[in-house]
Amino acid sequence: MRIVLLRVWTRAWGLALFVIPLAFLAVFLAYPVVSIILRGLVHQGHWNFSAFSDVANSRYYRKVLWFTIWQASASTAVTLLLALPIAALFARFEFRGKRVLWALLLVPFVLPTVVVGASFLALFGPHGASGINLQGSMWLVLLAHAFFNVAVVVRTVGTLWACLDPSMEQAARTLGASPLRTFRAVTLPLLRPAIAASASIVFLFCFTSFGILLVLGGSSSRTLEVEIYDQTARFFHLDVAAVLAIMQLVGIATALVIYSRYQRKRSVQQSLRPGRETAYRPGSFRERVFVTLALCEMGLLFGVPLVVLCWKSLSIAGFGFTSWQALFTNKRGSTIFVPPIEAVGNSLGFALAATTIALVIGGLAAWAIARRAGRGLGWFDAALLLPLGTSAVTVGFGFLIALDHGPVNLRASLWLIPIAQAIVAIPLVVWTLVPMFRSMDRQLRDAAGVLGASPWQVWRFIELPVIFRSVLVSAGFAFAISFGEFGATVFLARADYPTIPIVIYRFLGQPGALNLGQAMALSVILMAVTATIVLLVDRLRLRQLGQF
Amino acid sequence: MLRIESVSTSYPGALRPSLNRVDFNVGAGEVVALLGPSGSGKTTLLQAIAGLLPIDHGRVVLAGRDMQSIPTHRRGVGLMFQDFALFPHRTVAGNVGFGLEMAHESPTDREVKVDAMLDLVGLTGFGQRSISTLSGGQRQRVALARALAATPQILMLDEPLGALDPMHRETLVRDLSQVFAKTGLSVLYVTHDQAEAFEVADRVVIMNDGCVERIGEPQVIWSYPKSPFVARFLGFTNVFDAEVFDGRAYGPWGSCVVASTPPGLQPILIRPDDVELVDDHRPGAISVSVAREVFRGDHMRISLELPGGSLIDMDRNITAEARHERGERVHIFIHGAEYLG
Repeated sequence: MRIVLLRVWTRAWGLALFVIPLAFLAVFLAYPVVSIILRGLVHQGHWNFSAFSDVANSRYYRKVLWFTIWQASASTAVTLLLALPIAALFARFEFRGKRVLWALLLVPFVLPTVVVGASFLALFGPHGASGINLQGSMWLVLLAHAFFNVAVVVRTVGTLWACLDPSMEQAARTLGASPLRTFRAVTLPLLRPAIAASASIVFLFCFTSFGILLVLGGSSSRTLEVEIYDQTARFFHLDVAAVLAIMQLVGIATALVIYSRYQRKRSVQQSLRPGRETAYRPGSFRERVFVTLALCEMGLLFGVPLVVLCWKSLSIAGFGFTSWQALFTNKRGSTIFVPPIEAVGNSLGFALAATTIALVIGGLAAWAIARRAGRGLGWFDAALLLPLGTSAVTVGFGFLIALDHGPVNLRASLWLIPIAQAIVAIPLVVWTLVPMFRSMDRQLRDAAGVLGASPWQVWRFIELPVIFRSVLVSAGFAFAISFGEFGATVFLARADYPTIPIVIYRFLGQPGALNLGQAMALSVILMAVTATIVLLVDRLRLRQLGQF
Repeated sequence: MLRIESVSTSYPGALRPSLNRVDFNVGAGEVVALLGPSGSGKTTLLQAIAGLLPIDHGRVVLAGRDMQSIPTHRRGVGLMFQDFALFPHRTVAGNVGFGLEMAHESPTDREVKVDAMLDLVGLTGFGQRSISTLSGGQRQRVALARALAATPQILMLDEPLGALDPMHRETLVRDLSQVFAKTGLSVLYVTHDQAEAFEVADRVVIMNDGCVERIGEPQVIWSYPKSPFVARFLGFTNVFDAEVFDGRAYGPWGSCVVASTPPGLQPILIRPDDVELVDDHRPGAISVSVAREVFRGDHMRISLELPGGSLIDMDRNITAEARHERGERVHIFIHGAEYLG
């Protein structure tokens, strides 16, 4: 009897692990997305594809679609080109400050898009430090995308590269291959899984890029995301926005399917070596030149825009703290109703709430996925991939049209923002926690039980200490993402509770040096907070295996 | 101390073998080896005893208490896992003292006991070391100390040498035996290696496909295997089905003496030292051809092809005699066979 009860209880608990995250995603992700689809395809109770065919037949929207794909492909190519030398640098060479630089690489990745936009404007915008105004140029967009995403490629490809057995390359050399041939014929094919994986992630990020294009793009560089936002927020063409969102969802789904097919076909078993055994100090002249050049590239790409941003925040509106002081005043006629500095408090509050939600939902989901180890990617896992494929703008837009009325009416609720931010952060939480939960050895639990630990003690003394760091790490990431979240928040933020990215965006849209200066000062605050979090997080997992 | 009474388990997915009416005892202070090929249910049985796996039928009685409704952590069993399952986030002392911590012993008592355990397994001074710095043999000792520190009613070891370098096996088996003797614990020792089982155990339980095949002292089992499975598992190759009547076993070898065997088709064993090379004049000798001859250190093992094609193995002393060529014809005489039943 007791055993039967115990089994029922275990079953119920196991079911709860599935039901809670699924219910959350159903209400706050599936329901908004379905609402978008219905909005675009159903009129007065009937299926109606006229809005769809209008958009599909319009030259203008075909151009938008083409531009979206084109800029994402070009950005991916530029990112790969810039990232591979840096990946080689970290994979094969030992040099001073390697650890810190490796950690710092993550800072650009989690920087809010508007901050990156502001940094590049500080360098190449009007009043820019370089004296060249490139605002609206495609090159600036590509460069900003590379700035963002180089870390993704370097960290995924670099990790695999560091573990490749150098004796394979040495064998190729003894068989008569030049260094370049060796790279093309041996190294590159072996790296292909990691390159393909990171390239597809970068492509997805750029495909749904929003903040960068909004801030840096010109009137002709309009992606689906920008168009969805404009159709909603400026022209109130919700039908058109819905159709565009559907097109984007289909595009993302296609990319994900192609990618997973490719991964399955291409994965090869490799014998890998621990990364630290394969790196060495640059010896020959050529090697030293390579290391120097790669370090310079990193400095130019990452260092210069961020340093210029800080400097401009101090100098753009007359040298000194004018811009910073202005943050504390509530200017008449401003687009926001509160002193800008209040946005810092709002952002912190929203991000804390979002982090908590993302940890609880993502943690339960990760636990459930890990418990089903070995059964491949089931529909449950696929359901959790959905947020990854849903752009922030789609989330924001979906919330706007679904949760504003009807069964889940959160129109007046401040919770709308943290929930939307949590939806954006959940995939990251899930994918940092799943490997950890999977690596949690069942035997350790059994061993503790045999030694007299009750189930609660097993959790307290064995499982919690082992996963604690990972939980902190994913909390850090979730916080950084929520803190700088722009795409979804811009749909939902209220004028009396703006967040930092929203205020930055508003300032960037206003003319005048003081507005620009305030935008840059806030960007520096945002950057400092995210950078601190990322560095703390990296400290935490120094002793841990696994990347990203 | 431990009574296993007709224990059966089943797996829904049948990934691991289930147990079928397993029945035996481990006496106080006795070392019992659970011996069988992989997949015979040895580990499953340990898990069932520890309460990590539910039992469908039967009982596990430890120190007079029925374990049915007692959860794992209150059973007082010590289990040393196959790959040790040491906690990576705790030091050596943190691992060894874990069970004492769960029993709410004071830190000072814990320290004393942990040190005593580390002394016992020969790891004095290793307390503050991290698990990742230990060698395989040291990990095994930590796992043993951890299981012992919690003062279990019975100590169970799952293939304790399985994950280790074969070179150190001899000394490790000896050390384990010494620890068993010093602590006087009842021990259930799982292995698939019969030499290891014979060396550590007072009694051996041989398992096959979820069932107990044979229980007995090592010498007794070796002298009387009593079943074709046990005979083969002990490394005997000359296991045949023979037609038996009037105290003789008939087969491709002609016939030979076999004691106390019921008439009919019966499994028999011919020990390799009961086969002798003889002159062709000897009555009862048969002519066979040499299939191969292998050097076995202290003797030579010759495989011979019987009329009809089946093989029979025999041992001969290493002498100056020339080695036998493949295909060479020789004559053998079989001194006797044993009934396997």
